[in-house]
Amino acid sequence: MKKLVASLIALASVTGCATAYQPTPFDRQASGVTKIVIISDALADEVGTRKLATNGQNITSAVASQFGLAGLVVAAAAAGVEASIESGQRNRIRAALATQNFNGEAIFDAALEKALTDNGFAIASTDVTRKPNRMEIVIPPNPTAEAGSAILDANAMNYGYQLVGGTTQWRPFVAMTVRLVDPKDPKKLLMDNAVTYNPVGPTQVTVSIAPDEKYAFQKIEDLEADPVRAAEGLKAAIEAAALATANLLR
Amino acid sequence: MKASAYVPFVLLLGACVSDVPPPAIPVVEIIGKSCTETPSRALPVALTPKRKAATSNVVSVVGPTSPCTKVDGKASNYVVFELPAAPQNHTLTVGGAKESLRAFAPSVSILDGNGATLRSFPKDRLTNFGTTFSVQFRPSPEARYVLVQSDPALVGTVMSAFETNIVTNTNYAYNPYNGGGSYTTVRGREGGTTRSFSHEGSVVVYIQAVTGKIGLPDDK
Repeated sequence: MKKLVASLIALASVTGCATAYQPTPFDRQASGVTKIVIISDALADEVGTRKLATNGQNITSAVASQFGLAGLVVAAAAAGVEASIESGQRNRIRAALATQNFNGEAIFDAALEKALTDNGFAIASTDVTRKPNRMEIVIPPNPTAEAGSAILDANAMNYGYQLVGGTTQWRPFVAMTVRLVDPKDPKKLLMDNAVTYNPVGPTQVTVSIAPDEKYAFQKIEDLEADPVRAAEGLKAAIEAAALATANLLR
Repeated sequence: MKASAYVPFVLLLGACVSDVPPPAIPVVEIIGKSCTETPSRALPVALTPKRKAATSNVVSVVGPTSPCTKVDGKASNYVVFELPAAPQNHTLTVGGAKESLRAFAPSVSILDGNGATLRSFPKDRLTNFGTTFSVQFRPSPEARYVLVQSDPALVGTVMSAFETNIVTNTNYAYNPYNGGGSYTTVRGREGGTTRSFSHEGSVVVYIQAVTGKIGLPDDK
């Protein structure tokens, strides 16, 4: 009982400490930034999937709430089946896009560089290897960094195709964090935000991009049957995310 | 059965139907208002909450009785917000809420204590930040007010968007051993929406203190 009370107090304190995400808007004039150095690892090599509000999740919720320990076992099994189904679907989407030599990173880099150049920035890139878990890169301070330069780290936590609920369609999505730091003092944020293409339940302060509704597939078989359009749809999503990133630096 | 016997049933049915107002429509022209040459700062909407808080969402509905001013000779509704103390310690997301059929067409400027414009945001700086069409900034120390006015150049233009949401339902399942209980299910909902930019609508300011509380940067 004491352990339970202690757990509840700990949980309450954690909940009490939760604070809303706060972006850092870019002030171009005050920052004096004229050159942007892009970390060239914005997207993972392989596309991902995201499934929300699935039948499997609903079964898990219903069974777990009704049948105690036995329900939890069944729910865990249902969740495992759901994950297995999604893994298979992800592999099929990857195979379809591979037939088009799809390269998300190249698409993003080209779109971002063009948009930043159009905005009047000089640009450069730096190769930094990101860990496979897509965690934020720790940028070491560089006291000799060029005056007026800043490092841009755009990092897609996930991108690819998503399905929300059993009655909707597979559509492209990109979920990305973006931050601009001072190379001399990388703890100094010059801009920090998130960009989501095809968001589900958008937050109040991060960038939402509505998807182009023409890129939708009822079933994975439909996507496999038209890999050209599947690649076009994801390319449009990635380019929109790149443009939104550049727009945060206007 | 006599007709009078139906009356209680009709009344019962009537009691169950709530009067849901129709969604507000876009207002693309300001007619019959006397607009001033410059916006008045006499009655600003305070962004400092009455109770200490680190974040606050302030909504001001711009409607038929809201003041208006002239922008390039054209009428424009406006609302003025008063910034908290230490304005540079806040992140503001300011713009028009996306309503069912319309969104306020915002043009945002930051003013000093004398009403002079310190910074204004061109139309291409407007971004879809979640549920608003807005700009995001941190004011400078000398900033005192945020002026949001309807942009006649934007009013009437249409914004189409495809949106995805998750709908949550609460259900009940009977179990003879424990009596059953409620559980929730979720499903996806997607569809296209079309909104027009409007002279009227809800202006939203979401304000976050960088440190401490709003107006109180050193408050713990």
